[in-house]
Amino acid sequence: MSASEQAFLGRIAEHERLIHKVCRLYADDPADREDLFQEILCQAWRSYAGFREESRFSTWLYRVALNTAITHLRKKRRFGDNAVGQDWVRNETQADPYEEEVQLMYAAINRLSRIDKAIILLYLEDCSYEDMSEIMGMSVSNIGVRLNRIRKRLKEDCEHQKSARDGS
Amino acid sequence: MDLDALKSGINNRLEQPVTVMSRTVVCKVPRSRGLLIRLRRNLWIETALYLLCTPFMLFEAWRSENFSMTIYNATFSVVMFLLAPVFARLAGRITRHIHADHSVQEGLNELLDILKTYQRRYLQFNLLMVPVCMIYAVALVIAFPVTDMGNDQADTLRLATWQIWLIFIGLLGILMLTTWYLSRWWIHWLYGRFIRDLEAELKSVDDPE
Repeated sequence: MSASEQAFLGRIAEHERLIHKVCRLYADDPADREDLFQEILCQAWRSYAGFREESRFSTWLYRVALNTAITHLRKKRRFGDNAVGQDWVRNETQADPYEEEVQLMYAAINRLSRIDKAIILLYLEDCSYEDMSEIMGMSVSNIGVRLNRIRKRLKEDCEHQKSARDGS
Repeated sequence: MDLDALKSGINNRLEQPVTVMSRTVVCKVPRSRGLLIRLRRNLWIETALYLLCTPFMLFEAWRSENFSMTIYNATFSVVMFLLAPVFARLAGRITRHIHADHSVQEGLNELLDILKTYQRRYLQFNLLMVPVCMIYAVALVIAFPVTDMGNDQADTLRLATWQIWLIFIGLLGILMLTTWYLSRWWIHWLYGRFIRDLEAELKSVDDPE
């Protein structure tokens, strides 16, 4: 293994958590997640030669991962609706109220559009608005407006789901 | 129920590992099933085939004793010679896109542009192939005429030149229209929904309200 491959894999190992998060959010089932994981690594390796250290490695990797995930989604969505997160809501016990709310919120996040998902992912990662702007290629004010709107929508969606379930 | 209050719980869920596969294989086996990689692979294969076939076709055009076959081979060579750089350029553009460090919005814009260009080229290529194949059919008829035809068939072939041209142009028109419609339907079936989704998302990025 060459030195550049070793360096690449070392850096990836440090930020692997980031790729797992993108895969969880953008792929439907375990096999698809593994595919996406591999795809992101392949894509990162292809682009690594062009990485000039002008931005942080995590910022660069987020760009690569999100761009790949958004493209990867296409072939899966043609065959059915995106039902990520629904399995957890159905399968896991509902005893813990906090867990229940987490599951509802997770399912609501998965119903967002691809770009909104990416913004929420970065928000959950505690990225600054400037970092989000750099990764997404949107203005800081645009990010702020969208984020507020998404959070409001998530809250409404969760409350709606909860009241619907309590009603039934 | 607020997102901030649930942040750690959601992060815990998202951070669960999705794979147990070895990372070390990635540098060795970069075989991809990604949309752009497959698209580029197809374009390179087509380009290579064109470049491979062109010398043979040119050789045949030069050597052929039959003038109609010379016309056909020469036409096909010219078409392939013109198409190969177009496809190679598009494949090169995809390669640059793959290796580039785009932001999400830039990446989507470029991807959308590439897909639309591919759609356009696909349609143009198919429409161009119709007259070439028609020339081929006519060249075959001239090169290898049927000599033992019956009286009925001979009667149907006694047509004025303008009638033959009319039939040729009519057939060409029908075939081109059918090809255009079917190719368009096929390429829209493949990428149409994806392109519409991308356009809608990009529009919402430009206008957050």
